[in-house]
Amino acid sequence: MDTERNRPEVITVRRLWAGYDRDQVLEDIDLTVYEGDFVGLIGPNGGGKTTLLKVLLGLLPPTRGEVRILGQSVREGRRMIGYVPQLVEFDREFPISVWDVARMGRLGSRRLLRRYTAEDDAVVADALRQVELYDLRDRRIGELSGGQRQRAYIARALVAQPRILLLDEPTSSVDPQVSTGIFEVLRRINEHVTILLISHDISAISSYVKTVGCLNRRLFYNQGPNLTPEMLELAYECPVDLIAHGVPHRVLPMHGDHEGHSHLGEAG
Amino acid sequence: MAPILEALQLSFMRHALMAGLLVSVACGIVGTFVVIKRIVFISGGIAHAAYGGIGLGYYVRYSVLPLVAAGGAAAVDTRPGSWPLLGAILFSLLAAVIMGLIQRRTRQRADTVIGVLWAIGMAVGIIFVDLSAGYKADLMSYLFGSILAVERSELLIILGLDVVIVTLVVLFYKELVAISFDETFATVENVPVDAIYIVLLCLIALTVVMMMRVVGLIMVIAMLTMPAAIAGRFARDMKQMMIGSTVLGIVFTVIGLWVSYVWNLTSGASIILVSGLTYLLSLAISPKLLQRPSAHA
Repeated sequence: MDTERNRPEVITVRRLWAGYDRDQVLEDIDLTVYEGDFVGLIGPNGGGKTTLLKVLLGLLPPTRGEVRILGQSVREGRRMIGYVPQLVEFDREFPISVWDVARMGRLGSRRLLRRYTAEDDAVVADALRQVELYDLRDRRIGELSGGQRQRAYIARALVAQPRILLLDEPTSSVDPQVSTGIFEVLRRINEHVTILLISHDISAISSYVKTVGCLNRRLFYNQGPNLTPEMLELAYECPVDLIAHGVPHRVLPMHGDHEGHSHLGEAG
Repeated sequence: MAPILEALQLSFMRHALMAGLLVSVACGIVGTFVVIKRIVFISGGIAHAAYGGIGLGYYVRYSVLPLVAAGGAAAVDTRPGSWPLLGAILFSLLAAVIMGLIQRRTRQRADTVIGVLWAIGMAVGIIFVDLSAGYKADLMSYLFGSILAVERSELLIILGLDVVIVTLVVLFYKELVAISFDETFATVENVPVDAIYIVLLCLIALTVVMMMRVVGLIMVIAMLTMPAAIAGRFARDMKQMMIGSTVLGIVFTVIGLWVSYVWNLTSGASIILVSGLTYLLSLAISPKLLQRPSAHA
């Protein structure tokens, strides 16, 4: 834990409240992410994970509190963030190649009225190699499998040459083997890029993640590698069956009370 | 061949062909965005709201101008000239900006508001025509198109619009593709997505005005979407789709014109039927490029 004090803060969230109209989804969030971290935040659906991502990306202004990305405002700092959205069903006939999708990561550095350059092409090629999609670069994005498409989005994020990678449910719609492949890619990326990912699925917080936290309106995050029973209890407010999900970090006792509530993925 | 050569002797036929070619270019490029971004409804709204401008153009031409220049040349020439087209450009651009802002700024019921503006635009047009004095028989031509009546001055306007449309698409190509594919990501990359979206709607507005002359207001959406939809099933990227739908648009216009000339049918409807039948046929053909089954992970 001590080493964290020597590393610069890349994401700083102080007393953040955010939500929609009168409904505050996030209450009093404090979060510090240091350079080189690989943070996994889990929480039930409706617990504010997506809201937190939106705030970090500047898509939703906070109601109260402060967010700094690399010491800058969100709008400035998000240039340094590579965003990997959740895989959602999309128009499979959309006529665009894997290469062109990845190259969109350069939009932030090639402003309006500027064309992409050879330098951009080199960055795109490098990113596609990192996620092992270079050979499929001319495929239409709709022809890829879910895991391949997820890696294409990771490549697009990398093309922006970010210092932080933000992932929304990176393994929610792929099978465990593919998921391991994605985490292997992320582990290599983490050697030089800070990673923050969110998921409703506790099994997504695999052993590749260095630190974990729980988010359910409030955030329970202590910079540690383990989910503590207290964090889970606070976050989920119901008994949580960790054993069934095979969490690599640790196994927690079942609570005797509140029987009938069930898995993390469906809570909230 | 004889009927075609014979037809080309006629200056209105040459004008019609030229208009068809020019409109197909804008239609192929802009239609591609309409299809892949799924904004057919708002495009329909812009097209119909433009009718308000047609009405305004008539009103200015027949009720305002004669007052300004009483007894001048305008009184002798009874044709509406390019006034309705200019009015339509004004109204459709206005509709595009207002509808776009409403869609972006309000959270709910944007489609209702667009539907309302759609109807208001048309109603304004009809009232303006009621108010304007004189001859208005060819008003129907804006509803059902009359490519055979395109005047030289209109041809120049259409050419100008084509240049504007192509230039804007070239300038903002990567941003237009980005907001079509993934708007959230484009936002995070600090692309001014709202502004680019409004630009796209204005491009649609200008295209719709040109097409109104060819196939008429009511069938604008069909001509805007069908060539792009067919091309989209076979294209690998958006440039291919744009080129493909432009070529298809030209082919449909020429065949439709020929059909209408030979059998003496309404030209706009002939063009639409040719496109529509081809579209239905194309659905039966499975694109070779998509033969690989999409694997699920």
